Amino acid sequence: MSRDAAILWLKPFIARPIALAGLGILLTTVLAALLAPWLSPYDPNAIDPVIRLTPPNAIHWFGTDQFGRDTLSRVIHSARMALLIGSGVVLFALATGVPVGILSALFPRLGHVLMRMIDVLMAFPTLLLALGLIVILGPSLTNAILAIGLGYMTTTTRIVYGLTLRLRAETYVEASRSMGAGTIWLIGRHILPNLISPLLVQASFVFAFAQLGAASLDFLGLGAPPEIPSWGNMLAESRTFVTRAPWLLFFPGMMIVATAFSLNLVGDALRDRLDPRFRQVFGEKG
Amino acid sequence: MSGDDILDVRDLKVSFAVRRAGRKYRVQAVDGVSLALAEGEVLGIVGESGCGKTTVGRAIVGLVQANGGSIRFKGVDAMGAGRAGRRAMHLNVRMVFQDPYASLNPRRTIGDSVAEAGDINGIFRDRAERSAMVAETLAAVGLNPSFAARYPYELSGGQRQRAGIARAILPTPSIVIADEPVSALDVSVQAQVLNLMMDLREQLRLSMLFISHDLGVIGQISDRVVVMYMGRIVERGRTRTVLDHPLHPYTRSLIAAIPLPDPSKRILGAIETSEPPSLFKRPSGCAYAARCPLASERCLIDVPELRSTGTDERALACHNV
Amino acid sequence: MLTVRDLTVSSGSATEPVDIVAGVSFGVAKGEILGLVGESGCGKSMTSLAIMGLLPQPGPRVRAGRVELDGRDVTQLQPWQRVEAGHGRMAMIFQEPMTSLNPVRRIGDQIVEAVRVHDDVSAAAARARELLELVRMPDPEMQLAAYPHQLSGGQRQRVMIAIALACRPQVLIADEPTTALDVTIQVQILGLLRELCGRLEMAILFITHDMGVIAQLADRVAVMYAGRIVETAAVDAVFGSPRHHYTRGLMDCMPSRNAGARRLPTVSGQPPAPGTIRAGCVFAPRCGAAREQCHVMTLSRVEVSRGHEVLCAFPLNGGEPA
Repeated sequence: MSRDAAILWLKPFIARPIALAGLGILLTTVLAALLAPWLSPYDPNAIDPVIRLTPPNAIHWFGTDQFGRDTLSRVIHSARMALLIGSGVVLFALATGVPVGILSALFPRLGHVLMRMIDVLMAFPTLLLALGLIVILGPSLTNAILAIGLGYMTTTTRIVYGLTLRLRAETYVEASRSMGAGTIWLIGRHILPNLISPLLVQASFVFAFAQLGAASLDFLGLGAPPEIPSWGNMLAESRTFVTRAPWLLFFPGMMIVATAFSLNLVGDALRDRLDPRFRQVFGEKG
Repeated sequence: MSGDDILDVRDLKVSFAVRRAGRKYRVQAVDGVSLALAEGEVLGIVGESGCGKTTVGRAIVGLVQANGGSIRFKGVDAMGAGRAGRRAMHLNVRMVFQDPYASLNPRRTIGDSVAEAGDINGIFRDRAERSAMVAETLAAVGLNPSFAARYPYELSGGQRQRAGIARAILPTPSIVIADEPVSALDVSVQAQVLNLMMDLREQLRLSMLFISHDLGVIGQISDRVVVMYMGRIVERGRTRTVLDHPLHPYTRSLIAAIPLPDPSKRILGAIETSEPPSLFKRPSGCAYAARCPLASERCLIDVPELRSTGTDERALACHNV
Repeated sequence: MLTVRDLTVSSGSATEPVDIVAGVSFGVAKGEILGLVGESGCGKSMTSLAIMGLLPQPGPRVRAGRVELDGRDVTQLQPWQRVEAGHGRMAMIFQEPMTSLNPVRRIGDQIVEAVRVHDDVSAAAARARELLELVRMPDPEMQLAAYPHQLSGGQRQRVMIAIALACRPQVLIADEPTTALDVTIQVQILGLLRELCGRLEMAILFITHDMGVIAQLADRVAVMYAGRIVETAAVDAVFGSPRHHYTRGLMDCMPSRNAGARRLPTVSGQPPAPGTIRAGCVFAPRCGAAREQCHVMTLSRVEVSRGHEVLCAFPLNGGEPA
């Protein structure tokens, strides 16, 4: 990507300071996850009963928990779990939703059956669906991703289905068909390229909601194993000490809200960036 | 018709299933249309919206399924053609669409769109040949070859339509089906694009099926014309003859309704409110009978067949002319 | 009845305005149809929206000039303010009636609603029927109960005209009302407007890109190009001897059914985008007769004969270059 192109990608963020803030929070989270071992001041699992439930101070900025573990270190390490589950859910939702949506739209008979199945899945609230699956499959990280991913696969499929139906009727798709294009050609040259921008936006929202879903599962003890630090686990463990140690609730809770919110902001900005009218305003070539 | 017709459509029927107010209807959009296109000829199809003229074009390129009749390209049945036959059809019978904004993929470069037929059917030996042919084709439609790298939103309506025409002539086809190619353009641009199409027709020896609602445009470009009403041909003949001496009452009213750019020849005045019948409720006899000044009792019962008048390739579907 | 003076509509910032409509002036008298003709993007629709006080917000603003209705300045007033202030009434009809009609309400109810804004409630139903008869809707009693999708394009346009007439307008602005219609229906709607104009003594501003429609319908013509009116005259004068090179070009490049396969004369190039307009005549870059000074000089309107004004330094004479 050239420098000019990079500037163009940043323009919608620069034009809206709140989106820039969202991007900042997101990048910070990613950095925290990547550099957790070097960034965190202490071992997130080091127990020290002497300093248990210390409020935030100069040594332990975010305080300590009931075992004397450093909250800041645990919050930083939790970012890894958050990103892992977020990307896992997004990948799953796209990998299943995109082909199902496209094929359903291109082959109406198949679509009739598949879309009714999606409708059934959509009838359940996402979290309830995830809980049910975890109960059947047993709690693990992979299963948490699958369980949450299934909920967002349905919305992704719906979006892809609707867009593909519209694209299929576009004159340029008809032109292509009239020149002998087959299904693979249509999908590769006309449908997928036009799906990329809405999917990018959808991915950012799925990622954000996956954070909330994962935190809920963790909180209920059905997500990440308790020995792995995650914001949801931290919330769950802190709940008995809420009145004595509110910082245990505050910091992971804030991170969940901040990550989800920042992703929504970034998603909004991406949508603007990918809108062709926006492209014209900023005079982009290609 | 004679043996040197490049395209021969006989008794073409196309119907659509339509759901309206909870009920299913079958709408017969094209109801037994026969036409023949001679080599190097421009045949105009004219009629108002809903008359089936666009559907005829779409059926010929295979975008809609015909449910009756035959389409023969160079004597070969195109509807039952095998893989090789279909490939020949796809490369030889090409379409230009009405809306220059919708007919180009906004995410593909003009070059990619223009090369598409070649890419799909694998006719380019290498990338160099591909870009050379794209550049040559763009030049042929009056666009700078550098447009190959541009995207549709960077082009004006007229330029896009030129790109749409370029897509239809690479590789050079035998037949171009032009579906209202200038209707969405401003008059000054319309004239440029019409001129281009006339030039290309001569340079590339194209045969053309030119579909339009605009008798002015049809009169400008076509050698022969068929007039359609409610899915059927009502009149056919040499363009000059049909436009100068229309016989069918519908053709007459169509010509009379053209707003001429001459204030001394005003046609407004007579208070008229008749409209074509709904496609869902096709009348039993002649579809034009309800609006026709010549209608007799027979017109309400009998559907008039298209019959030759014997002169000048003229044919007519009317009981009373 | 309607007078527009030096109307300038601009988008862009206050310091760097981009004029979409630049100093347009014309008037329409009672019982007269003024045809405003031009190609897409020439500013004709923007002009009509500015006159109606319906410019999209946020969006272009009226930067200068006045719109006078029956002698009173209404430039800065919204349509409802005009009604409240007891000013003259204007109504507008558009190209696509389907988007202006509520698809889930009966035609009759929609007309009644329009009537009630201006008239006595008790007589509204009768007035709705009367309006449908006025626009020569076939079978008006039945159609009152119909929904918009049950009507044909031409009938919908009749309904739109009926709704527009509900306020007993003194000025009717018609923005390409027949462009989406078939010719045999177009001729009916044009005939209807012609008839209503005389019967109701309205002033009609008819906007179109079609020179043929203008010739058929208008009493006077204003030709618009790049935000400016380049020629105004009575319809016979404009078609008989156009004085502006653009007007001439527009008429020449119309395909004609009588022509036969010959090349059409064209106006080369494209209209300039607003904001790229430089000094000199706006049409000079495309004008076959442009001289050097055309590209630099400031033009003013010239009255070449009585009531025939042209924005050109070297107007055509009797269709030929002077």
